[in-house]
Amino acid sequence: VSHLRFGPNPLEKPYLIQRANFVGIHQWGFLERLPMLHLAEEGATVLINTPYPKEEVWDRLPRPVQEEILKKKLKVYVINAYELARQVGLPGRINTIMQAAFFKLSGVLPEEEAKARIKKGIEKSYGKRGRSVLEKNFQAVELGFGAVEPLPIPGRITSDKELIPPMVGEAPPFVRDVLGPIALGLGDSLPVSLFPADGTYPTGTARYEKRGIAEFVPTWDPEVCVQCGKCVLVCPHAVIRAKVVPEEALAGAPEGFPHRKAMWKELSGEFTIAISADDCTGCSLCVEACPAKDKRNPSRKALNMAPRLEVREALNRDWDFFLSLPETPRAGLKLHTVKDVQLLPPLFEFPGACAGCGETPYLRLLSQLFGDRLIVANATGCSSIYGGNLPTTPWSKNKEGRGPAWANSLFEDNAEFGLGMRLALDKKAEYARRLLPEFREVLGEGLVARLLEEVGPEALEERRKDVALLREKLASLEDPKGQGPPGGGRGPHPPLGLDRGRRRLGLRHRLRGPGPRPGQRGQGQGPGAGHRGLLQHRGPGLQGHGPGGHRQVRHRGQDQPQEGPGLHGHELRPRLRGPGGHGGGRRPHREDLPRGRGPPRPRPHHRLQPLHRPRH
Amino acid sequence: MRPITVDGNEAVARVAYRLSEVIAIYPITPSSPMAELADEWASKGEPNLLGLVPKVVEMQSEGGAAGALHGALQEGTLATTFTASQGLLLMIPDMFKIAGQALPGVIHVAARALATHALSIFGDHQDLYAVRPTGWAILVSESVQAAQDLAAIAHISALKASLPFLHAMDGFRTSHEVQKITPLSDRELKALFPWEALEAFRRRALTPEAPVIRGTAQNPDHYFQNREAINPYYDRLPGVVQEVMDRFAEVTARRYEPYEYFGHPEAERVVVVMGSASLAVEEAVEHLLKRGERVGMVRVRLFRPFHVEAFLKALPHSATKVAVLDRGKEPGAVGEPLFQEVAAALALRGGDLPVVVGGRYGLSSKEFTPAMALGVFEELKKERPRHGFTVGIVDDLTMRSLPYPEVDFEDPASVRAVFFALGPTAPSPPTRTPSRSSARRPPSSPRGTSSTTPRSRAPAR
Repeated sequence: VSHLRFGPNPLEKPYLIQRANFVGIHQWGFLERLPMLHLAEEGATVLINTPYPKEEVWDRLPRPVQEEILKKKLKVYVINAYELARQVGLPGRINTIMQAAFFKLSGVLPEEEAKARIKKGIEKSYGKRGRSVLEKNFQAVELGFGAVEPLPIPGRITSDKELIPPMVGEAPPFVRDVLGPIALGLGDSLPVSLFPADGTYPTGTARYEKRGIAEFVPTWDPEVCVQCGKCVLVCPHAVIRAKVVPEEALAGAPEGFPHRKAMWKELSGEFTIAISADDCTGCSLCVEACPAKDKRNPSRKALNMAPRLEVREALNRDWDFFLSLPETPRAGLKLHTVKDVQLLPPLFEFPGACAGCGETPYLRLLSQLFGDRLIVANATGCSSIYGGNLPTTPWSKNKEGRGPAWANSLFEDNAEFGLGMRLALDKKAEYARRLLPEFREVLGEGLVARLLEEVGPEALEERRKDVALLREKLASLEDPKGQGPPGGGRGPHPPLGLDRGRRRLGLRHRLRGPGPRPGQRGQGQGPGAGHRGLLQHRGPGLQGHGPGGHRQVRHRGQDQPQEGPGLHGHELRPRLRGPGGHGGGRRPHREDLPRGRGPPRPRPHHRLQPLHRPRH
Repeated sequence: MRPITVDGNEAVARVAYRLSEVIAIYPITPSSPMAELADEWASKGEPNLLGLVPKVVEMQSEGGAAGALHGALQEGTLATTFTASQGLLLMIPDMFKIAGQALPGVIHVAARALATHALSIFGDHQDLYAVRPTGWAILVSESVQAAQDLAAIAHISALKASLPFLHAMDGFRTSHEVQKITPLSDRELKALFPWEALEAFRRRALTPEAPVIRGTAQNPDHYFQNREAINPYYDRLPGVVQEVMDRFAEVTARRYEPYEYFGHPEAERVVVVMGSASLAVEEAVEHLLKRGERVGMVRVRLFRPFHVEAFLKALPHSATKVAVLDRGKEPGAVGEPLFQEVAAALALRGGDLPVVVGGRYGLSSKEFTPAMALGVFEELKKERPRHGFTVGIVDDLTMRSLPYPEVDFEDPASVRAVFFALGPTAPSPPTRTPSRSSARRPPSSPRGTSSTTPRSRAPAR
């Protein structure tokens, strides 16, 4: 949100505008969910960028918006800036057009003078980009002034559409009542008592926040698809998912639910892909990665971008049904292959990262492979923002309530922070092992022996059952020594002796040198350089190879995971290298993207309760 | 318990070791022996109170030790470190995080000067003052016995209050002073240990079995509110410390107060001071009381949170002149940190206010004697005592130093031996052995105390 004041008198007001006489709404999607007109004063001018013809606009406005327009006698103007931008050859670049429209409506300068000054500004900003860019922008100015039209207002409410709630679905109360207002920009209204004293927030919350920011989203053609899984692998936001399900599971499928016989040697059943249109950012990386071409129409692939507003209803219906389908059994999947990994449910989904983020696919992949027993010591950076900036977090949990537990300390102490966690977990496991034999009589020899045995990840489920049994038996126990088993049964314990791996995942973007510290960046790259590099980043980095590549990922394992012996960046990357090296998808525009999102955590807290989390 | 003869470092380490599961170290003078002892005991397999050998890990810097401390606390283990001076400064970023997340970590500090115009390995309170705003509770001990006892009180209070504690003793003066003390037995520690609080802390451990996220990023619309949500924990903290000290007295018969008064019940002139210097002030007060003067002293043990109510309760209402002694320097401030707290506490009280002045003493282990304290009490006789004075040096540049009389405070019944020797071989046996052996004599026998002569000590860092 940008606030602009000017006038004949000097304005020294170090606070935001409380009552506006002009409100520019540059994204139609905002109208459907965000309160904006509460800032407008009576009789204020409102400019809406709309994809719809002028005649349809009024009826498409949600009822509360119509009400506020009528109540405050707002003067509403509309313009289809995206269409105009396409006409002048600057698709997606609506800023010049919207600026021109603002000058026209605000009347702060005579029209000709305003145009001249804007053009001068354009020459200054874009002069180096060449004549044609300048011409296109000049044209955009003219169109902006010319195309803005008053919206005919019928004088009565015609809509019964309510604003979309910030948190959809069956959001838990904390998500709905605390994170919801934050998502709407109304966090100022939340009192202190609603917040957790130690800053602990719930996971699995991004799924409730449907941002609906993409203009175009992918649609899937099962007939063309070769079921390779590359689209699922590159998707930075986990909005493309795949499953193989028994045919009978599709009995209740909505009409037109796309699926096709699974092309696997080892798996039988129906393969299906679903796309969450309202979580998609429209980066189109999936389409870029898609290797399948429609032989009848070579311009089409198995995935093709389509206007979100036209396809969202069907996609959402299919998505909901898809989520209700059983997961493909993990056992038997070859976890070192892209084709099989696509079938694993992600425990990192819908991050608020920039469209086309090159870091998030790796985190999503990590969560698919190890998410249900993963603890993340995060280093401050992009990953702490899309991972942990309130209101919601992409880190998620599965149906059993397991998922990555995530903590961010600082940037500088990341490795040490993670080491401290590891040492602590080892110590607790050691303590548990020391205590176990003392409880032989209660637990039984068999259970004690099983728990003391060192096992690998292949024994995960068995070990979980034993730990649950241990908890149960200890819970029934009277405090045996009058001091409680301090590290003993009731508290959460790391599964005994299981998978003691510690690995480092480095997420870097290309303007940062090989070292993770900003201070080690090369000369001539100011503090902003890295960030700019990120915004320009469109590939998930899967193509980049050499030192100049986009992103690289390194895994350093102490022990080889039985489950995913092949999980190494260099094994996955070559499989995905695109023919063109650096790909060429549509670049996301910064102004198209909503500003910061954050990580969340639910739970009403009162007084001193907040520290003590309810356990599953 | 039979008395033992130890220095401050060992007294603290004996407690810290038994109450820790993960100890992240990066030794720094004068706190190094605490870290080294912990390391030695762990390598010998000495168990802690839970019957477990703590994990001692030496990191690559104090910043790393603080990071590991934070990580270990996230996982619900009892975590501790030892440090001083520049080391403590390097821990500041993590200290804010640990306190902000209400984690009960403990740092034991042998308080030491900071490197300014020059480095100094010797003791004062500048490092403590530098971490005032981190949100850690700060407990300060005045003697070897107190250092051992407050070390335990710090660990226990941290768990019970769900907030981190920094426990400090004066570097070298206390950390290296060999004293005969009554040790804390395992039995006493077990009786004091808050098992339920440990259980509650363990339940907060980060685990994929019940995942949450911590260390989020927040925006203007909610960061402020969330920051205020911690208030109740700080509000109740002084009460928790008091409670733990009361319980400690029940178990060990040694009583401590967060703010302790010594002197005339209707004192007019009062000195407020923290750390080992308070014992010297105590001697001066005793001396003046015998001469019928109405003087007193408040010993501050709980510096953070500074509990206004308890402090004002300790300070006699009859006081008309108050001098606050700070073992630190904050150039450009109205006064040094302890002065600021006292002045603000009195201003909040309102009513008839005493004159309050502040002064500096003892930087870099500069000697502070009862005679110097007499000089301060003398200054307080003036209608307008000097503010911002120094004592213990001659300042002929800005004329801030106070004069003080020559008074002999030595105990005529004591043996007072001084050894001049060269190198590490000499000082230790003659000074340590007699006092150690004296510990084995009946309690009536003279108590041996010795201080190292650190001038000859090679500064480690």
